[in-house]
Amino acid sequence: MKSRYESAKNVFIDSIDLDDYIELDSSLTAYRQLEHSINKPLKMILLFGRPGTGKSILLNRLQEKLKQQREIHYFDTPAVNEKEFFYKLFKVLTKKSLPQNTEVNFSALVNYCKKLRGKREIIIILDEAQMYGAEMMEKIRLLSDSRAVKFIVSLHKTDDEDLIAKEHFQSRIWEVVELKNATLKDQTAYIHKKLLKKNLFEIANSIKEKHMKLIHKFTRGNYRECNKIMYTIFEICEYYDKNEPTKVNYEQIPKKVIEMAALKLGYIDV
Amino acid sequence: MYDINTLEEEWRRYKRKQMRPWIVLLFVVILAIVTVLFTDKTTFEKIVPSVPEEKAEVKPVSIVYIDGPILKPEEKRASHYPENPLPVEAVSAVSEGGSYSKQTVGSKSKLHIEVVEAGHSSNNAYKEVAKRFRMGHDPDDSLFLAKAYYLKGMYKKAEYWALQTNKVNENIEESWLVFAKAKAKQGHRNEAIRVLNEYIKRTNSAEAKIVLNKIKKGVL
Repeated sequence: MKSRYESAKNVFIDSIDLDDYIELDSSLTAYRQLEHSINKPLKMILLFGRPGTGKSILLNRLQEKLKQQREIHYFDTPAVNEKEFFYKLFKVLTKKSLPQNTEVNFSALVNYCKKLRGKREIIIILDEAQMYGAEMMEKIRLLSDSRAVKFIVSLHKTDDEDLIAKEHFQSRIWEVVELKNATLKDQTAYIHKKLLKKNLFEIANSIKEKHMKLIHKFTRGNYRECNKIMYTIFEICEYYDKNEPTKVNYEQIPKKVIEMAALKLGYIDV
Repeated sequence: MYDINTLEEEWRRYKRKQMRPWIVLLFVVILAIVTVLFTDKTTFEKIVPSVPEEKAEVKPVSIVYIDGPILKPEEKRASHYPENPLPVEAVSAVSEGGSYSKQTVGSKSKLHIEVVEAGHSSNNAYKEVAKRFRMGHDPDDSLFLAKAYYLKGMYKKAEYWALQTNKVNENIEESWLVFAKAKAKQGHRNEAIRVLNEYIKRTNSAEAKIVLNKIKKGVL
């Protein structure tokens, strides 16, 4: 027999599936900020925030929404080397594949971009840009100087990466959009909306405010961590539902289960 | 699927760990309360008898000397006082009720008379009296301390000073009575009865019989 918690558990499988996108006040603000920045004559836009703050899904959504109106491309994983990156870029810019055994001449690529100015406006989204080296970033900046290619650079915000952001981006008058960890209100809305989207009303109602506070405390408002803990909570509930139903309180998720999930994920220790 | 039993056990350990500071805090609070109560009780014990104590504070205002075979320390001090003895009237240290009582003392039976008045520091006064006793071995001093401590409920000390009095002069009835009563108060009823019986055998004291009767009845 299928447990009611199985569907709830699957809601929180971490993915960047746009169908699962939950519009929250904070992400809506960031989205509008990005959209507004794209319309400005800026060469580069920086989107940064700590891992799990929803940068990738936001960029995905941006591409999805704008792809019909603008020439927008999403580079989800960083290229393993410069050659591969320019190969991808060449394909996007020229709409042709690079002939075999040939390499992109960077100067020629910059000149090509300059010729495109006023004719095309290409937006390239670079996710996980902290993976690109400083030299590569410099080349990206030179390409953006052509004003034909606009880059949206997404960065993880850690102490070191914050430094990179300061050194490489802030000095070049870029628009900076920061995504922060979710507030309790945002996270509560996120969890509820996710469950309601799959018609899991009863389960959504069984997560009370005090539980939300506890979950927010453990995950510190990180969406990825929130997905992990919610998945684990429902997995534990599913076990009890199937094997020891007397231990399950269908009215509300027991605090014990949340703490067990937190222990399992290492948010707390013994 | 996780090993739920292990996870549950881990959770129980986590809860115990979480409770630990609260248990420690509770223990500290209880300890603090007990300490405060104990301190209060001690303070109370100190404060309650302070009213009679103040009255009983032994500060010799004047010491009156009368002709006769006086103890040596008094003889030494005699020169500081008028040669003609004052009428033989004295105020005894403290009666059992904590009040003063006047006694007329025969010139031969009572040689050393102290007039006491309320002072400021009873503890210091007690120390002074004890110090003086050690120097002069005056049974009046030790008897005073025995009775005063008995009134304060400090029966061990009362017993000690009654015994000291008895060592100096074993014919002072009050020291026998205070000794027996202090013993009884400390729960040594048989010892108290034995002492009183011995004293009654020797003196046939009516007062001692009353006290004995009270101890036997458990009134005291």
